[in-house]
Amino acid sequence: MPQTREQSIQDGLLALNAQAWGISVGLLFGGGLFLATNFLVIKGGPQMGRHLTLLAQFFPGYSVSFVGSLIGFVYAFVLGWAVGRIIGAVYNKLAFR
Amino acid sequence: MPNHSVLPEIRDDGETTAEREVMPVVNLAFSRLHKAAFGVATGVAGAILMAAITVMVLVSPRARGFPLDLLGEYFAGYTVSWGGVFVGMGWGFLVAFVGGWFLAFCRNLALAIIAFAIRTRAELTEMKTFLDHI
Repeated sequence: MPQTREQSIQDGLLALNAQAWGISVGLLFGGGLFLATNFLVIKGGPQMGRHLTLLAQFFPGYSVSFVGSLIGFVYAFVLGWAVGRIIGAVYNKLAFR
Repeated sequence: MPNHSVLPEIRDDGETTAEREVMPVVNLAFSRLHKAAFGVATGVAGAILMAAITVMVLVSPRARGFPLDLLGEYFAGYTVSWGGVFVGMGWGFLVAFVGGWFLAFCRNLALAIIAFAIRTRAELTEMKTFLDHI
């Protein structure tokens, strides 16, 4: 039985661009950490970023400061890029078997 | 010979030239995410991430003080140990799979609602022009 146009639209599957996903997730992670860090820097206080500072144990050089937020952005971007690439690659492999 | 008629040029398969040009774009715009594949993809990423951070806390002297064992409050059986790497991978996969599957479901649902709204609006517009001719 021939497919209707509507059916063919509904059956279409989206292929992910792994590189674009890498950059998107990287920006999401990097931007998230950058904003979270600077939010604490602007807010200030006696024990500024007591918990977020713990990230320095994974990201050497990171601190709750403006410079630290830039360093954190780079680390989180790289991490997010890797996660996005994995998602894109695995999805395309499974969805279009 | 160019088509100067006001009526759309219809081919043998019933598809107009305009439809033939537009359909690939429409297909791409409304293509669905495969929920299970997306769930597995995010699950694999989650499992790798959990394994990587647990191994890092175990191996790196810098990260040894990180209170990662608090994840055990949510992930039953998870500890910062070599056995915990595998338990963490399992939990990481499960949580990320559910998150990814649900994200794909929401994205497909939103797309279906948008497609329905566009189609309904187009049908109403068509009906309006039809009524104008009466």
